[in-house]
Amino acid sequence: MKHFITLLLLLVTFAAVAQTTPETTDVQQATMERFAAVQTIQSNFTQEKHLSLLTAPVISKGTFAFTKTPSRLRWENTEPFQNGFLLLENETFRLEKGLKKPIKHAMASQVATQMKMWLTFDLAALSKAHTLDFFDGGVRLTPKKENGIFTEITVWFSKQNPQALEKIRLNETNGDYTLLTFTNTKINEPISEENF
Amino acid sequence: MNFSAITTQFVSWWKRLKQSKGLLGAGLVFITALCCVTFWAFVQPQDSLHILIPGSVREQMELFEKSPFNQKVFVVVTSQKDTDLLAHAHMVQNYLTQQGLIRPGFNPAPDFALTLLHALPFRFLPTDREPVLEKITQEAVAASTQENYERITSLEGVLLRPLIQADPFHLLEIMTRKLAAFNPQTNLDYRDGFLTTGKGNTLVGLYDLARPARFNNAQRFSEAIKQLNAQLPEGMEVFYLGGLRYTAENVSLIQHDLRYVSLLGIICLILVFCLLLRSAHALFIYALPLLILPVAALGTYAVFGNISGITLGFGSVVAGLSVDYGIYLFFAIVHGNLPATLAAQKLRRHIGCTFLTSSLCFVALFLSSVEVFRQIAVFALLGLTAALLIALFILPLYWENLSTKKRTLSAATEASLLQSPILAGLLSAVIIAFGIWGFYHTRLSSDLETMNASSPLLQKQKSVLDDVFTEAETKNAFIFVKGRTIEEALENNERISLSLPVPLATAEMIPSEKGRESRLKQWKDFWSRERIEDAQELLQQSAVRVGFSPKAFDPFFEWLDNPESQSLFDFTKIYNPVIALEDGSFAVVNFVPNTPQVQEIATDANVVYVTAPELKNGLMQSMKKETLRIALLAFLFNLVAVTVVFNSFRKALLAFIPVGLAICFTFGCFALFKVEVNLFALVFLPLLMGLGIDYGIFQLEKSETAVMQLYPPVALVAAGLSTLAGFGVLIVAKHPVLHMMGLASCVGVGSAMLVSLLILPPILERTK
Repeated sequence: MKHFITLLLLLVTFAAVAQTTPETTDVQQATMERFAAVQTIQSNFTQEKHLSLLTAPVISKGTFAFTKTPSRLRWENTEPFQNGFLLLENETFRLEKGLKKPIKHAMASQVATQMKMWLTFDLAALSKAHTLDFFDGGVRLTPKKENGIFTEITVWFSKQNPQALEKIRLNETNGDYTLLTFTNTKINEPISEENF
Repeated sequence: MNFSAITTQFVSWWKRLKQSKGLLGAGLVFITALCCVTFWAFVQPQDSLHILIPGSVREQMELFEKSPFNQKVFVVVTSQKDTDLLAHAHMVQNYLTQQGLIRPGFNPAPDFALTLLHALPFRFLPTDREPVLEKITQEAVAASTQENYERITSLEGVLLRPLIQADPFHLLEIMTRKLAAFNPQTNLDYRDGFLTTGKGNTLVGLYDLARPARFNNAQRFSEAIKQLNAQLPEGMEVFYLGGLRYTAENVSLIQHDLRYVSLLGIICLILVFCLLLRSAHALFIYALPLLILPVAALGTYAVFGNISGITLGFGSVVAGLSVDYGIYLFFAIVHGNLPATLAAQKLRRHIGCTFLTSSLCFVALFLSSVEVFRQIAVFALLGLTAALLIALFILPLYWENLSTKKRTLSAATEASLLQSPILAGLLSAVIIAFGIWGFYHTRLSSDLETMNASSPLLQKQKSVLDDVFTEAETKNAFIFVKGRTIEEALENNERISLSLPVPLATAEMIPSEKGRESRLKQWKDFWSRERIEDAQELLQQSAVRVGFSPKAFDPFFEWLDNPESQSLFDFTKIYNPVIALEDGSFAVVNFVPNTPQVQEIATDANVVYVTAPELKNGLMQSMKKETLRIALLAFLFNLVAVTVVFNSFRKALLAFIPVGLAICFTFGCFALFKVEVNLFALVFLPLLMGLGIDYGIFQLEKSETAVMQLYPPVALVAAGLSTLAGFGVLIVAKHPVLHMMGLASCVGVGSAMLVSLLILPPILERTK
């Protein structure tokens, strides 16, 4: 059967991401270790979209849950629309009105994986493609290469719990931005299996 | 100078040369050394699949082997536990890329969806009109606009904004459908560039090799995989499969086998020498192959312009046959109490007939459509001719002082022969019955895999991949559409595609130049000014209603006005279905559902339609036919030749008794010991015939001659044992092909020798 695989989609083999070893500062190292210790996250979020192609900013609300082992993430908007996505180990699902729909499309799956990197603040992965500029209470991430999407990502750590995030602001190239605010965040607390 | 003068000149030159044995020997060594140096300096053995395949399936096999996915290496990451398989599969991919073992695959940038959309105008077919019209109805536009709003306001909308603005009507779906047509009928999923099944515990990456699939690169690949396995968590495993893995397994196993087989062969030859020959003069016999093989190799290269490693490996068989001539002569001198040159003269008919029968077997082999068989035939004919000349004309010069003392062992061997023709007849009947039973019960393996060296580990790993791909193999087929140029092949591909129930994915995604121009024109005709304005109005109404700004979808309409403005993506960077063929033409490789309807259309259109199981079966059938044809021709040629030489059809049949009984005995043993016979056992059949007839001729000559001492049984024993020492020792090899050749020669040659010694003499005595 070794002869028989023709699919084009499968031949979409992703090239290796350049593996550079960034200089690791003490702050970065400490932050990395702090977030590496996060095993589970549960949180509510509010998302503000300020987009030029919309007539008005849009505010959405929802819930977010993550477990490191096994690797699972659920991001679900509850209002105004009920949608989101679910990453389970090696599978990706779209959430539509509470229902799980598998995503086979490589690109959609890639988008979801990208989201996971931000939401779990995977600093090791993020630092490969971004330069990090730590400030009091947060960090600014600037893409090393222009990607046509973001100019800057700013992350604010929670004052109550240094292992949690308070806000993420994603600045886009055309001046648009998205602001995520996390509330009622619980770190390393057991998460019900029903979430996944 | 006329022919007579040349002959006279040659005879005179030969007489002078015979006076100086030292000069003659030095001349022979010089010629051999010259051939060796020339060979190693200028000849690179080549082994392409082309030379191994019978003519009837060569085209299909060549196309199949050249198909793009067949050149790939399969890297499989599998896990029994619920671990992060995908991340590890990416790690494996990165490591192999960094090590320079695989080529980085196509990396779809985040804007690839946009690129895909912008490729649509150049792939727009009449069949796409209806789906597009359905997307620009009032209801459809309302639904897609609402969906776009939900997507843009979701978190991932950040990444999707450019696409949403460029594709308000979701026309990308038409392109993804075209792209998905590459997907064969399987149970496979695609996840981040990897193949997987529903179970999800196996991810398979298909990669192009960064270096040629040679043994040293296969070793590097194996080493990298070993290191990766050490880094993976417990319960997870990575391995690779494909031609490269088979190269690694085959070559390392053959190297291992040859070390042990050579050692064992040398020990066996020393034993034969010490037991039966015991004379320094006899060392010339074993020097004979060293003299003839370089000449044969160079001659074969001169005839074909290339030479296969398999042909060179076959030298051991030719060596075994050539040694026989020297052995017969040696024992004729020793036992016949005759001067060497006289013994050589008396043995001319016997050795000449032996040469003739062996040569005719190779002539039959030469008539095959398999090039490697033809190479082997020329190699053997050249080698045997050289061996014959050396044995009859040169060896006697060096054996003038050979001791003529009779050996005690040969006397003992002679005394042990069967004396009763009835017993010999009965034994023959038992062997024939055994053979008939064997023919019906021997298991012939039609699996080409049985000819590959595959360790239990490889078998186990292959079964993992088979689980993933079995369905793909059975439900799908290849269609190869040819053309003199790439453009012609692509145009022909588009023509065939139109006649199929489902268009060919390659024709949809990788059109010819003409095809691209024609499709762009159809796209422009479709998007008339009036249709654009209608769509714009519909979209505007819906967009404003849900909350989009009025100019949100301007990028789409700008693109409609000028579709050529977007840079064109070359889809062959992801997958190039066009292959270059040996004859300078090209073929487009398509993977299609294997249905009778598709097969019928493809056959009518005169394109090559291939399924893997049918191809395997076809290959096996043609090899069987080819081998049986060769065996039959060899039988007929030899029957005629021996009849002519002995001037008797009856005697010719008698000479065939050893080979006939040996074949029966061999098949009986295969069935009795449940040996699964692969193709190479069949290939051995004509060879066995050549050797077996030689032993029969030996006994026939003996029964006719007045000087029986010229044909001592020990000569036949020494000839048979030398062949077994050189060739039969392959039985200890682990490689299935070498093992099968060794097994067949041990049983076949051994039994032919025993039949000649024990059964044939009383029958010949009886029929006198």
